[in-house]
Amino acid sequence: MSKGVQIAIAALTVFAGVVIVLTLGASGEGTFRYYADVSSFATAPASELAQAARVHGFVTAGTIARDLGAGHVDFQIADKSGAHALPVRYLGIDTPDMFKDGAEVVVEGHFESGTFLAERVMAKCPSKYEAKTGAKT
Amino acid sequence: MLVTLGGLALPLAVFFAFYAGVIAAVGALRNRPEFVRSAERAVIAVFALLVLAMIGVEAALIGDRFDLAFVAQISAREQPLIFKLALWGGQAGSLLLWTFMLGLMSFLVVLQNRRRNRTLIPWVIAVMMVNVVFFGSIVSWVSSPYAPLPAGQAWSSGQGMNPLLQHPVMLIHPPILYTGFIGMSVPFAFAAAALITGELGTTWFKTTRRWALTGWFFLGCGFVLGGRWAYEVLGWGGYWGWDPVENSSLMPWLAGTAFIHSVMIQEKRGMLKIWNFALIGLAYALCVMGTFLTRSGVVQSVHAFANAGWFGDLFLGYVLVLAVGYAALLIWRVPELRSQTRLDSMLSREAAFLLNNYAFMALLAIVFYGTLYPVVSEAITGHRIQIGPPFFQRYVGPVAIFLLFLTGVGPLLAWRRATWVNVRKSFVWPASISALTALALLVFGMRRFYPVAFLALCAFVAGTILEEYWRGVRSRMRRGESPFTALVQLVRRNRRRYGGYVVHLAVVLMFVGFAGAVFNLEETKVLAPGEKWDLAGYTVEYRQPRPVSSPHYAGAVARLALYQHGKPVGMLLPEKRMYFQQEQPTTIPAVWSGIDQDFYVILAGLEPDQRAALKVYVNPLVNWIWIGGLVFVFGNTLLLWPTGSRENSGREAA
Repeated sequence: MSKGVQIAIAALTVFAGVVIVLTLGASGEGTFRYYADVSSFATAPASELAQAARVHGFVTAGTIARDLGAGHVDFQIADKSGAHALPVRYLGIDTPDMFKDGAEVVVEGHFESGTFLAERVMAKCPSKYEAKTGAKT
Repeated sequence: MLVTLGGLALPLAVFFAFYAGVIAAVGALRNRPEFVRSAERAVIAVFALLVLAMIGVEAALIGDRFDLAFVAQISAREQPLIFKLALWGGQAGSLLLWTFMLGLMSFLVVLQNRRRNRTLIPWVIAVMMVNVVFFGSIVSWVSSPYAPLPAGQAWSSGQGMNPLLQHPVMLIHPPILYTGFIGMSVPFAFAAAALITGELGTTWFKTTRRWALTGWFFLGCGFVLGGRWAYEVLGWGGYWGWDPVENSSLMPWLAGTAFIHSVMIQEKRGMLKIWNFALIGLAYALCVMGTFLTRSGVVQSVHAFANAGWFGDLFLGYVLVLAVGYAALLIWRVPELRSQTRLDSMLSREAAFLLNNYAFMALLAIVFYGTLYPVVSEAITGHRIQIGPPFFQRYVGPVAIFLLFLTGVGPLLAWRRATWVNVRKSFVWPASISALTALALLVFGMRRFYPVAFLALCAFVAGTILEEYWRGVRSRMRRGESPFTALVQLVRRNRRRYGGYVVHLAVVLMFVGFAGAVFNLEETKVLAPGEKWDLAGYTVEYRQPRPVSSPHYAGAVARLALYQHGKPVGMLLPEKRMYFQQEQPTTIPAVWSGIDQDFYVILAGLEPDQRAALKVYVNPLVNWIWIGGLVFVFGNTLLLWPTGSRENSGREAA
């Protein structure tokens, strides 16, 4: 085969190799294991739970408790169906504007002694690209 | 009536585009110029029809046509008119805007090339029409702004545009970004046409130089605007989150920056022909991939958690078809593209440009990797791993430093081979400034490596730019011109070079702003009315809260008096609002800006007993980013200003 093809194959192999290695050994600052719903987080093995994670869920209504003096906000997130509630403590008081009962959120932090300690709470930015249904009069 | 007309015009435009593309290709293959002329007329028709389609949607929005699903989604009866017109606030409207811009650019290209590039134009039309057909089809039949509400629903008003988006910057940010993306499609079309026809010389990029530069310029403006909006509105004190949607516009820009530099090498030395073809293909593929990432939900983003399944696959398929097709064309022509020239010396401007390209490719790889990692990791390990800002900051930093260095060094090196003597002579002054800056920073207590290195390098680059200007002005003054005339003439005669230096200066200023972020301060405190808070040389006195209201919202403002070093500087009024229509709370930050830093405060919460929870960010040097943005606009205006000569887009001075 020609030189060009050889180079292309070599480059692709190197690239693929790097990707695989880095993927399998994924850790380090700035990387988070992502859980698409609270039930997958709840059923994860204990060794995984201690790692930096992001968990996607919905805020259970009536559970938001802000403590301005102590500087944290406690709430619970659960699956869309309401199953598998996870207590969360956000280590700050400036929750995003969209954060409220029933809001779709991703919490970022790690799990410790029964509570998810969140350094960041990201609430769904009102999506321009999602069709909303529901009649209004 | 306008709405109905627009609804008919849209699919009609797609049909005409299909016709134009096919007949242009046939005309080229069968050597029938009259077919090509027909294709050109069809392109004009496509544009006219798309104008009608746009007018129709705007008419629907102005006319409160809530029987249309799209209008019901993004508009509301009491929404201010100017925000009603912003049809890009929803999926269907933004896709229509994309298609319209494609039509507009195709029209302009046809107009520009009425008497030129007759070999290339048929294929340029064909490629651009492929784009119009793809996006136009989606807008006509998959996600249309003209689609009615589902049967049985009737809305008397709409959901309304999100209040966060009702901001002047957000009015122009999407159209500017789209102009950038689609501006890139023109050089791409010419490149594809060049590969198809075998006209592999410099014509294809010389003729589209302005298009590439304009697209690149608008993309850059898009980021700065987006960052400014995020900073002013979102209330987290930052301007860039390394979010996949943000990254998806950064990536084509990185490829584009590499491209506009490396084409200069091809022009001067005939090298890098294959590379330039590949680069523009990459840049455009990244543009389309950007729309894919944004709309498909394949990567989670704070911008949208939508999960659109097959809709995203459409775009993915399109990117792949484009990429594979273009790559095939390129591989076919590789034997004819090998250059005869070799790199003469590592100490030359070509070498600096090459390194510049490697650095941008490295940046691109980092951003690409970090953005798509979640998809790859899920595909390989079954588990999704997400990447946050620390990853990007860690790896982008060193590459950015290297690029800064090149920005200073490159223009001082001669083509082919620079001599050490000349290099030393050119470097003395800027290097001294740089060393002095570093020394001054260290003396004033800044001990962290990255900021000192960054700022010292910024001083270096600024020094080289000033030196270049000084040399140019001085040599003209020797011929009798006054300093002012010399400066003006210098820039007029060598727009690309001296305009380019201004753009480099803009980037330097922005880097100064980025460097300041290392020293950002963030503090939270709860204050009762009358209490004071001292931090970072400022004192904040919380006077009292007041209610605020408007027809669209109600809320509260915390009236804060700000003092710096004991002297009163003004009132800060951070608010918390609740917008009725969308039932959405919004935090409005209050900022006190200075040339050295920003004092940025948000009202995180207000208790019934009137205690206010305040979050303060002190952001040093952040305003240099926006200042740099203005200089960026100025520099690019210099570069892109019409030179007044008809034949000029083929050849430009310096």
